[in-house]
Parts: sequence; structure tokens; C-alpha cells
Amino acid sequence: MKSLEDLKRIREQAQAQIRLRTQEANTKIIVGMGTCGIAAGARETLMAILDELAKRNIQDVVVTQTGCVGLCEYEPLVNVVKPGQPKITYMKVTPERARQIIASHIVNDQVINEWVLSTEEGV
Amino acid sequence: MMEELSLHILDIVENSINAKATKVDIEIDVDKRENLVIIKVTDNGKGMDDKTLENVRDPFFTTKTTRKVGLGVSFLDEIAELTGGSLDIESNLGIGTTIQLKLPFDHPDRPPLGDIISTLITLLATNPQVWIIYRETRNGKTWEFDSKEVEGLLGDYTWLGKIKEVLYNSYKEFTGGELI
Ligand SMILES: Nc1ncnc2c1ncn2[C@@H]1O[C@H](COP(=O)(O)OP(=O)(O)OP(=O)(O)O)[C@@H](O)[C@H]1O
Ligand code: FES
Ligand SMILES: [Mg+2]
Repeated sequence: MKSLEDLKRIREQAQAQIRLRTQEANTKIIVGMGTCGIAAGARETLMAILDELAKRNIQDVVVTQTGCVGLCEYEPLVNVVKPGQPKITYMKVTPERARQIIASHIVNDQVINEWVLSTEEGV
Repeated sequence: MMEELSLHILDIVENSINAKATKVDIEIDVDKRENLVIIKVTDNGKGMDDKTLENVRDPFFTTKTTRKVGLGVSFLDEIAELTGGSLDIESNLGIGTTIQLKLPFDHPDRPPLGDIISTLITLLATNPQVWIIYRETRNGKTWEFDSKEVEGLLGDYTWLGKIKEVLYNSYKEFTGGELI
């Protein structure tokens, strides 16, 4: 497979610069990946989040997933957890919304209230 | 609902991850001459007891606590029934689970494979600790991806983007751009 060598080359180039993000990340973005989330488009939402983080070269964010939380009608759900701030759950997060959440909430600390489903203190 | 087999694959692997699997094998076999698409997902998760295995196809059965329905596997069962295919599930407690879906290639209700690279990148990004092997065979030719090849690169989203690009290109070379 051609990509094998490509990936190895990428890896060697990267060796010097790679830091393990997970250990130093401050902000967490958590995408709901239950069956309902996936059916509602969570995969495309996640792909948009990854793309936007890469484009903006944002370093201190880690993206993880969670399973079903029982709120099908609001999927795709995306949680943003910033240190010292309540957990914000956004609903019906399309790829476009996801990109705006990164621009506004992640980069500029401006929560987009219109899309907030719930806010949870102390996480 | 879910319009691509690649989304169902993501959902089935999510079951494996929920079952604490550390290794997941995804095998796709496309054989037009035999008129078959076979999807097989094998994990080393906690497995199912007899009662779970008996009920796993039932949409009103789940072991999760957040909701009373468990749709993932029942969707596959439905597709198998609709197209005259089959769904086989083998599971052993403490050893793992194998789910195999066999569908007629040419049936109009057989969902397309869809964007398998997005499924792989999603899994790599959100579960970098899980070892994933993907192997697709189309009419004798095989394309394989092993997440060990990119170990150590997954925490960085810039590099993940590059991995995505490499995989898309390599996969496209394999399929010749043929959508199935
Ligand atoms: N790979 C697996 N390993 C162990 N148990 C599994 C596996 N796949 C499914 N199960 C069991 O079967 C049940 C039903 O699975 P299914 O995917 O249909 O629904 P769910 O995962 O519970 O909910 P949903 O998929 O709707 O989010 C699960 O709750 C789990 O107990
Ligand atoms: S069943 Fe989990 S969100 Fe719908
Ligand atoms: Mg499931």
C-alpha cells in the first residue's frame, strides 16, 4: 500500500515537533457518537471540528467522544469544557455550526447562546 | 436514517469501544461475481452473555442506562432482512465479539459503502488508544490500514489532517474512484 511509506515519512518529519496534545490540553470538545448522534451527522460535525482546529493551528484543545446521553432529538451534541468554566452543551451542531463554535467559543471565549442546550457547573 | 454502510461500521465499532475493546478489526469484502458485500467487525471487548446475545437484535434491548432503545444492531438486522442478506453475531464473554453482515451487492436497498476514510479518521481522532485494522478487498485486490502506522501522530490535528489526505489519496488509487 502506497500510503504506508507516505505515513512513515510523515511520521519521521513529525517526530521533532509532535507533542502529545492530550497531556497538556486545556479545553475539551466532546462529540456525541451514539447511534442517534451518528445518524444525525455527528461524523461530519467531528470532521469539520478537526479541520477547523488544524486550519487555525489550535494547539491546546483535545477532541473526544461520548456515547448516547438519551437526547436524540437534539443530536448532534457537542460539549465544550474550558478550564474554570461550566460545561456548555450545544445542540443540533451541523458542520457549519461547529466551525462557528470554534471561531467564537474556542478562540474568542464567546458562547453562542442561541445553540446552547444546557450549561453544567463544576466539571 | 443512516445512509452509508460506513456509518453503520462506525456505529458497530462504537459498540466495540463501549465494550472496552483495545483492538478492532474491520474487514470488507466486495465480490461482484458472487454478488456479495461482506462486512466483518471483530473486537476483543468484554463480549456478551447468552441473554444479551439472544436479544441484541431487538431494538428495545440495550444495556446502556441513558435510554431504553438500542438501535445499532437492529438497524443491521433490518438491512439484512430487507435485502435478503444475513447478519451473524458471535460473542464470547471475556474474549470478544464478531459481527458479520452479508448483503447482495446489486440489491437496490443495499446502502452504499460511503465515506470509509471519514469513519476511520473519526475513530483515530476520538479513540487514539484503540488499535484499528481496516482491510478491504475488492475483486481480489486488497487495501489495508493499520493504526499502528500512525501511532504518536494522533494527538496533533494538523498531522491528522495530513493522514486524512494520504489515506484519501491512497484509497482512491485502490478504488479507482469507483463508488460502490
Ligand atoms: N461489540 C459488542 N461487545 C459487547 N456487547 C455488545 C457489542 N455490540 C452490542 N453489544 C450489546 O448489545 C446491546 C445492543 O447494541 P446496539 O448497538 O443495538 O444498541 P446500543 O449500543 O445499546 O444502543 P445504540 O446503538 O442505540 O446507541 C448493547 O447495549 C450491548 O450490551
Ligand atoms: S438513543 Fe441515544 S441519543 Fe438517541
Ligand atoms: Mg450501539
